Amino acid sequence: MKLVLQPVVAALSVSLLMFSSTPVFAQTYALPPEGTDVIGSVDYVYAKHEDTLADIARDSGLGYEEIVRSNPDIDPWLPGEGVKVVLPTQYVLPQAPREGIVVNVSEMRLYYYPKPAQGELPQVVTYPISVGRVDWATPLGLTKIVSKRKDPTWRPPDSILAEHAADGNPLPRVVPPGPDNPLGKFALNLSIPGYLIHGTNKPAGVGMQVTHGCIRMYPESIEALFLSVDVGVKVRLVDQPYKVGWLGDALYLEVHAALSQNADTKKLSKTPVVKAIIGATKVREASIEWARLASIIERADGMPVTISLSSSEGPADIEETQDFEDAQELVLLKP
Amino acid sequence: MTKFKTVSKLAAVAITAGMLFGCSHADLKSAIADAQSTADAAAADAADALSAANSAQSTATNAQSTADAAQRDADAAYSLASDANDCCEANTDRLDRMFKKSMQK
Repeated sequence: MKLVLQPVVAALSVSLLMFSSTPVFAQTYALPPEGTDVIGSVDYVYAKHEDTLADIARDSGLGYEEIVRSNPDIDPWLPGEGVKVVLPTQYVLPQAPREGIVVNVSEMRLYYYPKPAQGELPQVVTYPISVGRVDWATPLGLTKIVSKRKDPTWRPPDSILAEHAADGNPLPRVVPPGPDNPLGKFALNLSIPGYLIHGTNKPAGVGMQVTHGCIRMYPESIEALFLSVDVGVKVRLVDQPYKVGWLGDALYLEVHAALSQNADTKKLSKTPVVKAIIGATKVREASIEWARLASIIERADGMPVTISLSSSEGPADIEETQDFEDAQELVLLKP
Repeated sequence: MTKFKTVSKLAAVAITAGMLFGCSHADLKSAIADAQSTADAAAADAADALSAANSAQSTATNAQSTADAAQRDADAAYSLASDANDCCEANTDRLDRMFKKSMQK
């Protein structure tokens, strides 16, 4: 795949703590103006002998599934010395108001739009998260943060106690703060009873569908969010397995695999994707590469892909798109 | 073989003619001797050719047998490789599921 460095992206991207020796706390970008929906850019890193994709994911502010799906031909446990690993650090912003916290469950990613201080430019901060597994789905809807707890005590609900007991692994009624506490060092209680945004004592599980419905973050991520967010901040829990958005004259599509509880549908329906694309092109004209849609949905690698040709510059721009080979057989249609 | 038959027929005709006409002429006798010699040589050539053909048939049969054995070995190796690949994929899947399970609360 060819790396595309969009000048607009470069101008908008303000990556604060990328690729230091310590894990990335957050990917922070200047909030683009309304009408521009894509932030960041795809990047690469070369694996060291001792690396796993889980290590690289954490160091890069990514979740496990994100990095595995972006690197389907690489062994997650033994990538190998010098192997080039794609970092899918480009995102179409979810279709939701750009305020407070937006959690996109299918994407397993949280977006935080902090209120800018006087004279500051607005920013968006994004973190990988874990969400609820099968039968423990993370709830959707509008909620808010009702309290913040440092070094939280975990009191597992009866349902979780019963599940662990049935598995022969009974839990205590109260888990005090410490290394065995699955909430980690910080927790944000939501107004939906029993649901939290919290840290973890198993950071390797971030970016997977493994929780009882809570939103789990890397320890360094929850600490940064905990310190930044206030009680009362709105939290929108949405499920958008595909996202459509503009960057300049280009329309991007980002598709994520369906979560396990939705897997009985096997494949993401193309109809809502087509509707979303048509909706986007009502406000701005574009020639859509419809012929690529099926393969993008099939791949569902979570990386934004250009699905339009620039109306102002024409087909010559194809050479600068990510999938030039695919573009050779395009069927160009006007919506 | 056709040549051999023709030469044999000519020799037979010459011998018969010699017997019928008394073989008094020296050239005719010489011609008959040459024809006989040629027929003998042709017969020897035919025998050699038959032997060579039999040998080639045997070699081809052996080659076919060797090829069949090689095909069986290749099929067995493919089957083993396929089984190993299935096992590897199953292990990867198992590892992935164990990892995810271990990451649950």
